[in-house]
Amino acid sequence: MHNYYEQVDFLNGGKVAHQQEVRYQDQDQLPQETEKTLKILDQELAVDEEYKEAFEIARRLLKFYKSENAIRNGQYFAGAALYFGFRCKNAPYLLIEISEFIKKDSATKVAKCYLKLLKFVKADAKAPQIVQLAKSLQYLDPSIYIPKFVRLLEISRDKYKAIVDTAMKLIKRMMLDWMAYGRRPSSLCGAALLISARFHGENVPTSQVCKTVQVCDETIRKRLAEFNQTGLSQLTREQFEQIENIETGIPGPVNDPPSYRRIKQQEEEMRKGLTEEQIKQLEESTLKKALEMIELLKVQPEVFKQEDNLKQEYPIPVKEPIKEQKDNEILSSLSEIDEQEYILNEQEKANKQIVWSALNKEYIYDIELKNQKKKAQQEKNLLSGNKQQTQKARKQAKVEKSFPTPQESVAKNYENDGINPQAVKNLFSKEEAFFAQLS
Amino acid sequence: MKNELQAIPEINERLEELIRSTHPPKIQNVVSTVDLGTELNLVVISNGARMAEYNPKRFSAVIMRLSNPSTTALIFQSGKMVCTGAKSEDQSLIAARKYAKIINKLGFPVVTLLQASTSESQSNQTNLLKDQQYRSVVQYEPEIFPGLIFRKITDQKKITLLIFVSGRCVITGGKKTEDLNNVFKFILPILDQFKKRDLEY
Repeated sequence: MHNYYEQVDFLNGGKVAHQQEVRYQDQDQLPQETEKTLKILDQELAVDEEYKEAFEIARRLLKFYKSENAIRNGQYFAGAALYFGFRCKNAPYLLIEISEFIKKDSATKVAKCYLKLLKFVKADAKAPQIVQLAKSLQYLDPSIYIPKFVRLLEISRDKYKAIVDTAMKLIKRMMLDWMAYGRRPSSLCGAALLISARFHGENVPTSQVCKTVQVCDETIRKRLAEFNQTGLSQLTREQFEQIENIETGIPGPVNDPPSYRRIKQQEEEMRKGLTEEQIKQLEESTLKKALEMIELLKVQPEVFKQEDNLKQEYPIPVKEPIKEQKDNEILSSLSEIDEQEYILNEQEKANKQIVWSALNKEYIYDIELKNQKKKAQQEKNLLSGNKQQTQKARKQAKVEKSFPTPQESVAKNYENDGINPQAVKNLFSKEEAFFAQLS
Repeated sequence: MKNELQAIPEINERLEELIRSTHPPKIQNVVSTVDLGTELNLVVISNGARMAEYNPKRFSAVIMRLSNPSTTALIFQSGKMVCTGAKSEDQSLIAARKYAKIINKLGFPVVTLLQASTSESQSNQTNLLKDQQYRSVVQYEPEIFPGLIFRKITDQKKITLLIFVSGRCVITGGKKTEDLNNVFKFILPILDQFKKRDLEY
């Protein structure tokens, strides 16, 4: 490739502008798939004006990421970077929504790419722009999704604001009641929306809520059940409308998170099954373990001296050879294994072999083919007396050597290297013109 | 230096309190890798042992199980073996030896047994908030995983903790029990900061 550019320079008496452009473009562009996906997402998601910056953030981030790591599966990375951009701008787009447009059921893959990008941003990034971006990533507040979901729910417009307000209050309350941590924001929104819509008289069917929020109705039912156990659910309509400050205005103690409650329930049920003695034994044993742990973990004044830490590390290499010896002894003397228990006798072996061969016919066939090929190759090499053809030699042999015109030769030989066919045409047309001038 | 020495009995008291109020970590799983030293013919092993399965199309190793220390082993053609499911380091050692013995009896000369193990333990505490302070070490994405992932990297050791709202905590990646205990001791006071406190209205 370098020789090619030099020839061009010579013929044209200097650097050629459009060739330079091609070079710069290659470095700056994202892989084709990524660009494609970003464009598709742009069209499909119909993003609001204020969130369009997310695309810029995504592109910038991907360029930085590309310079350090390779991007395979550019489509998933595009989705993940876009999600990153949305998070920075607090835009209400779920990861699931984005991944639905890339490929169905690809949410886990997009999530993996997103985690890789996060890792890159937190740990490896050297550019200050990215570090700034990382700082703007905050904990997802589930209430940002509510206005968007309300719009999608097809409710009469005059009740919009009221429903959004009640739903926001409900979600705030859920967070304070320890119901929201660890849950997907979409399921919480679904439950809150359902309650607030019904509260204002809109009989939205559960199935519709499930579809907009992209959660199955079983989950929404669970959330409603958990919400049932909070103090807020006990209030009547008038009481709810009268509350001024939702954070402090509700009587009753703050709830435990539902998973914690479940664990406590399980423990109680276990205790019911045991007699008193057994309960005492359980408690004693846990107490014993706790005391042991305390002894092990006590901070001792010697820990502060660094020399002692070094001494602790030295005895380790001595331990290993002793262990090896022990292993050999034990191997020879280990009589715990009953031959019958673990190893099959002759007939059982034969039976198993028959069954296995029947099940794995294709595998055995493939292996035989491989072996035959190898043998054939070896015989060939012996006959021809050459060394085994390496992969390089094979590749070079594939390149064709005769073409009708030099233009075709250049174009076809370097097709895979990403040559610009238009530039080749221009070049050769200029060359012809030059020679035509001469003659 | 003096101040730190003076603070030690207080630190110890606080630790004691914390440990008493919680359950100490219990090891749930020990994974160990063993090098047997010879090439193995997987077909012979899978046909000769009772509790062995081999599906070369799906995975290129023999899967063998033992009921005594209830464990599962993956045995590869190169002679390397991965033994999982044991409840303690000693059990893992015994199990690995048993597997080696079985392979020995099937006709392969077992030469060495080198072991390296990682373990995972679970502990139970009171409920807590998802903390954000330790942003460089912590990852909490509710859309992806309900728990908080706390990665602690000191020197060459990498230990990961999965912390859930209910207060349960899974500690993974330690090579020795000491490592796990140390991390537990390290994280108890941190978690205590983020414990749920009952507000009074």
